[in-house]
Amino acid sequence: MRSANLVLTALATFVFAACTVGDAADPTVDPTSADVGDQEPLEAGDETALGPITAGLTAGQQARVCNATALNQRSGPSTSNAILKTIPSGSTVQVLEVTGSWVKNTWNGSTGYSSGQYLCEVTTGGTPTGPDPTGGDGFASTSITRASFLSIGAAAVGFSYYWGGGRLADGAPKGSCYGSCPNCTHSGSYGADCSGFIGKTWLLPAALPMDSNKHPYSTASFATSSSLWTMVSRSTLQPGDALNYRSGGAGHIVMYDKNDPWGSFWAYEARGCSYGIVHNIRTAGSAYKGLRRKGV
Amino acid sequence: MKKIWIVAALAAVAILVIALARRSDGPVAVSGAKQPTVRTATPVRPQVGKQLDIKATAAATGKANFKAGWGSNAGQVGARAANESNPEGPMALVATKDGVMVLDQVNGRVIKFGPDGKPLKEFPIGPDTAQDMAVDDKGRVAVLDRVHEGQVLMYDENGTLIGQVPVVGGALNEAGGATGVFIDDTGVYVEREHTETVQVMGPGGLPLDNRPTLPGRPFRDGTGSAQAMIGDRAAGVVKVLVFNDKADFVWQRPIRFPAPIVSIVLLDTDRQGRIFLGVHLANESPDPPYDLVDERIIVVGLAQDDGSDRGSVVLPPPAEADESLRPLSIDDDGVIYQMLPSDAGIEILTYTLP
Repeated sequence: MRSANLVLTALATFVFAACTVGDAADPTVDPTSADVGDQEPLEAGDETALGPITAGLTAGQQARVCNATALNQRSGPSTSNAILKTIPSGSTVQVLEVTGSWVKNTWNGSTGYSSGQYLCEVTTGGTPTGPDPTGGDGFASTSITRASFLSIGAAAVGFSYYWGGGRLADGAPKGSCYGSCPNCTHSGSYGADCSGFIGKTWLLPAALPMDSNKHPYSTASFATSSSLWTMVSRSTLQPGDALNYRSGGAGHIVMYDKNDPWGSFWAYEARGCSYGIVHNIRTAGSAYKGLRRKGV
Repeated sequence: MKKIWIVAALAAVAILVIALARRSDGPVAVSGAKQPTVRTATPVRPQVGKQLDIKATAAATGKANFKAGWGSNAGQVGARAANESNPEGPMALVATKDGVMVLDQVNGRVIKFGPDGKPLKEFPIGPDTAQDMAVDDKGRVAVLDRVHEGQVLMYDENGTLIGQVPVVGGALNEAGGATGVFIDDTGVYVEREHTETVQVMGPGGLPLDNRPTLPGRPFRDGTGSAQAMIGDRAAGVVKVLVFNDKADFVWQRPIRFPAPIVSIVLLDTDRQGRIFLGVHLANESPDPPYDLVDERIIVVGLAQDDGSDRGSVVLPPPAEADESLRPLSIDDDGVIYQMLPSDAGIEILTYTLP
């Protein structure tokens, strides 16, 4: 009996030790089966999808891991092939060949096959230079739709910051800004400040000609809801909405595009005299409030 | 008596089998998950850690190191708060071995402050639109000016420009998507959209014909890299993934914070084997104007090698609207530096994990 007690005590100790293998990573769980993608629907980061799942990948282009926390790269085009690498979400791979639903790719010096279901096309092509790198109809957009707002925003990238201004047109000189506004100098007759930019992209108060220098609303106007826009919670922002800040005579407004994996977000904005109109990832402090164009 | 022995023996065999299975190279099933059909060839056995739940605690009182007022004189830092444009103060803070360095881009310069706030040196940088900065052990500085000039600049320890390359190239397809710059003995790296990091310069600031990538942000000790992503914003869940220096996936761990996530604001390491994850949290009021309330920043420490908990500390959120790309920095010993703007200027505070 004494021997039996000793054995049970030893077993209990072993079991306890096995159950407390750390506050650390649990070695009983294998992410290659739990959270890394081949063909199974996977848990994705919050709003981290980079674009639609595409079947249009072609050799020679870049693609990014999307809709998955990570993606397996295997030695052959089948889940029965060995895993060579685990590629995390958002990583860029070079597409070498597309075979059915499998994409031969290179990542970090390793070449193998991954499911095309979790690879998205890289949709933006460098610093925007054309009137509308998103493929929309740029300044010709006249509908109150999110796509239209984003299309106008993209077409405006590269124009100068123009304090008190709001005038944009395809092929127009971008202008330039020097100094510290409002005591700044602007050359040219095209560009916009932040609220002038939102006025143009949101077609406020209506679809006026982009080529007219109109600036009907300021960040003070956007500080409250109106017949043309309404305040929305930041957690419900959608592409084409805006974030506005106004305090003590200073203010700024940006157009929300999409989130990144950190909860920062892509924005179109007339950022300031030195910057001009840009498309960039940024954060916004709690002073910024969400806005949505009515009728969208 | 005999029955006890039989039960004990069977239990011992069962536990031994489980223990051996854990140590094998073969996959181990997760309840409800798909069973892989083959053994992996991955040299490193990646692990998924159990969720780490961070408890709500009171904000820590940071040690006030020094303040620097707004302005353009020695020891001051610049701010922009013009009507109808982006308000911004210094965009980046970097803790060094002998003080801190501040990217005072509004004044077109980098300032080095001693621990007591005495300005030790400064050097000019070309653009007033730079947004991030990194400093290596030798005092060389990398500066990222992404949206205006679209370039990365490298300065030696004396502030002499020694390298300059465009941001766009390789996996960096849009300059506005650059979210951080890093520098070490091997060169200069730029992070894209808080996912992967792209090497843009070799040692000494030389441009590269090919731009290699690594997953996540590099560890300070060069042994690997880490990536963070929001798993569930409303539930307060962030995932941290860690890779070794061969880009093999080593471990992943979900961390649940006690409030919804506004954004991740810090992912850095020290030289003591710790990862620091900082998250800005807040609840949103249900009615217009939907104010963010109960704001705070929680910084969590994790062991680099296995993701085990190394404690957490609560920091105040920035009260001003000024944008800053790198308001938090970690030194080699794991001291957390925070740059907080106010009406009067910036204050540098420090914290340590408990």
